Amino acid sequence: MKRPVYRIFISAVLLMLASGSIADIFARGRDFEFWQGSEIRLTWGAAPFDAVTLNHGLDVDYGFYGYGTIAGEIADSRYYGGDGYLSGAVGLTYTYRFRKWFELSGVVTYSGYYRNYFDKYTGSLAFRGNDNQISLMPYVRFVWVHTNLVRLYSGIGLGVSFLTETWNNSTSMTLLPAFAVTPIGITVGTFVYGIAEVSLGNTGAFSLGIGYKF
Amino acid sequence: MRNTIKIWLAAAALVMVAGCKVDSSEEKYVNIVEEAYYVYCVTGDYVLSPVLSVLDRALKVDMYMRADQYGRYELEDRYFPEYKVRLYDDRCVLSDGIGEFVSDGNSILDEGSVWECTFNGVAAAVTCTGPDAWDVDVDFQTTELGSPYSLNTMEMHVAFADSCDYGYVYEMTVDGDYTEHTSSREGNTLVAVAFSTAEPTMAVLSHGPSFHFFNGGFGLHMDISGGMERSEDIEVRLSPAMSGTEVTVTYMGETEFWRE
Repeated sequence: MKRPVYRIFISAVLLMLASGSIADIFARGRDFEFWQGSEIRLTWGAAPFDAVTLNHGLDVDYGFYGYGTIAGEIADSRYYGGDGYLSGAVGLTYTYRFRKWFELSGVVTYSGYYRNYFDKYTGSLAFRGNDNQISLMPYVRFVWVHTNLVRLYSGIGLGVSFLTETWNNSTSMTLLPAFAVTPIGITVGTFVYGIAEVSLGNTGAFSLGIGYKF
Repeated sequence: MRNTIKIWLAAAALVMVAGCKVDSSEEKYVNIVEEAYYVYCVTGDYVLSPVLSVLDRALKVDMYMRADQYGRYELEDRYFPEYKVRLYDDRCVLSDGIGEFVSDGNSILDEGSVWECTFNGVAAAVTCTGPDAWDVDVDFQTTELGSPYSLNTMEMHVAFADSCDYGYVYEMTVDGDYTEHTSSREGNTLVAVAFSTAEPTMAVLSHGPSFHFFNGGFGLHMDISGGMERSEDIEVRLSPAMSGTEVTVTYMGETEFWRE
């Protein structure tokens, strides 16, 4: 089971490297204005591939009383959940443009799940359940097409993420890997620009955002 | 450029609003009375049924002991298909020690007769108190209902009411209490349940070892200690429905119905 995943990951890395070379060739053949500099991006990604999003459907565990006991029945049904929300992946990215076709970024993403739980006897708020995951990763971006208005690119990033899970006043923390593979992304705009990306990883399956080039 | 910013921000906001809510509130599924109904079910299945089964089996064993050889074959097939029945004078043993019935030499139908019975972990003396009427006195020292339940007190009086395709129909009055002892990460929890019939209640063997209770009712009181302190009364009324029994449960000021 692990071997195919490993192969997919290696293939994705090779694809990204190849796309970087292609991006370089394309970039050399076009006439556009390029200058080395920085960018800041703020993005929001739907359906990130992270622990928070994968775990949000888990039931609350109030303690094990054994199946079929009165205490277990009463404990398990003591609280009921209100509406549950996922934040999606909110990302903040700093980018430096080294070359026309090559950019290096540092990405911070936040993904959270929130749900209030209420006491069924009184209807009052009993506790809040929430998961928070913050990911940090370096990210390389290969620009395929670079004009003054539009850029098309691919990218890949690998890093770490910190997951905290809080249920009924108990909190646990876990260290997890973080990654993002972006087969295609587009920016539209010159200094202030809009962003749309399709990715697999902590940044979301589909991301929208806004960036500023300086 | 401002238009570009507005368009992108509007699109991002739209997707965020549409995609954020992933779980709906469970408020409409909250049913406080459900836990009281559960207490009633546990009482019926794990406490009353095992004790009533002792009498039910004793009556069938009595019939077996009084039958001739051919009658015994038929009774074995009908009432003891899963057991081997062994008869030793006034003692009848069901296979693997699951049941043992020791008569005092009289039929259990004879007034004043006393049988010492053990069946499925419940040890009790069954005394015939009158025509088709018995007291079941549980030996609490040796009785094991099965974890996590233990019977503390019980007085059960049963009268034969009828017979049907499912077996005997009994009219029962009962009073007693039991405890449920469980452990969890939060500590030990003790649930003490006192029970009594609000009026004579009918019972018939339904599925497996459990009895179906109908036409009557119970008063229950539940005390929980150890992390979830509660002390609540439960009222259960059993009335005939178009098919089966309507179980009306009143708990914490609310009333709900179940169909059995």
